[in-house]
Amino acid sequence: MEIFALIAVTIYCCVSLFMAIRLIRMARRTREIPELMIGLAFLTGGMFGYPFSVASSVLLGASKPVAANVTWVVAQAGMALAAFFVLLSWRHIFAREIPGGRALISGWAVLLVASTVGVIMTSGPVPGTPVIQGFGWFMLITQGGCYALIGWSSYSHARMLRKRCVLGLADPVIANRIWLWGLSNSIITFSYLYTMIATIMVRFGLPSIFDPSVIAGCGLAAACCITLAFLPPRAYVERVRAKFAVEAA
Amino acid sequence: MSSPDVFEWTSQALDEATSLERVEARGTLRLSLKSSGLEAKKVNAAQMKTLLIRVLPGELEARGISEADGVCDRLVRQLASQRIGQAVDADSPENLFARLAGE
Repeated sequence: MEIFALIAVTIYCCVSLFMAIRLIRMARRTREIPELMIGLAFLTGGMFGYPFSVASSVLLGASKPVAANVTWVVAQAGMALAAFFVLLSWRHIFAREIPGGRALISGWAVLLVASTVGVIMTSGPVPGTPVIQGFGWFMLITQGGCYALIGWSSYSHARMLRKRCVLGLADPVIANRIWLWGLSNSIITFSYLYTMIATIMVRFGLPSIFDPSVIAGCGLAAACCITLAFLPPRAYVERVRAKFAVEAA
Repeated sequence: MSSPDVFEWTSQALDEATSLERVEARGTLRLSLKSSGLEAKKVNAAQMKTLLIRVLPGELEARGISEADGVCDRLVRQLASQRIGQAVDADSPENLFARLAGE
């Protein structure tokens, strides 16, 4: 299982790094905010948050508590930043015209910072268990909520586009791409939910169901969705078009 | 003129061209938009034209409007002459996701 987790983390990090470089370079060219935000989310979450979190557990297991603590702090900051960039991308992609959008983002950003600082000040890396101290709940909800929000918005928009496809007003490949983006964010939301459920069980004295391999599996599944969405093989694109043609007929 | 004007103009024209009340005309148009994955606030002229040709005739017939095809044909011609809702939203999520994959 440890080998699986290591492979999954490596794949997720490679996909994140590739997407981060690609989107940030694209943002420099287009001067558009959404690609910059998504690129930064991949960079901070996929290159700092997730791998540093895994490294922290490894260092703790190797009896290097100081190094484990430093990498754990970097991981918390990376995950909070990734959630913030995801939230900003949601605002610029799906919620450009909602009233009070700026206030919502500002308020949520304050919660993200407060929960992360709270966790860093009151907690630390614990072998084999997720964050269960007071601010841990707050942090899981504020961060997981960002992914849930963009996942739900992506699904809603993909569903609308599917209807438009029937009339020839949208491309089924784009609709599928937005659906995959929603799926990847839903998988990340699930990983937060799983961590929360595991902490509830521990808090109530039940045996912990937390297994790092589940989180690693979520990362691998999310990486697959991202790859299919943004770097789709030709065969996959043709399959999507053929499947839609059958459905439309 | 912005896209909401396309909806406003079309619902008013539908109200005038049929025996539907204003509220019924707006409701019928809103239901047609929803079933087609479109939004009243964002629909543009090209999308409305497709709706008028492919979706609305069936909806009008279901509500007992005779010669629904003819009514919709007239609305399409009138909408084209209005020159409203011509702009395409370059920042729409679908355009962004096309761009993100390098298309």
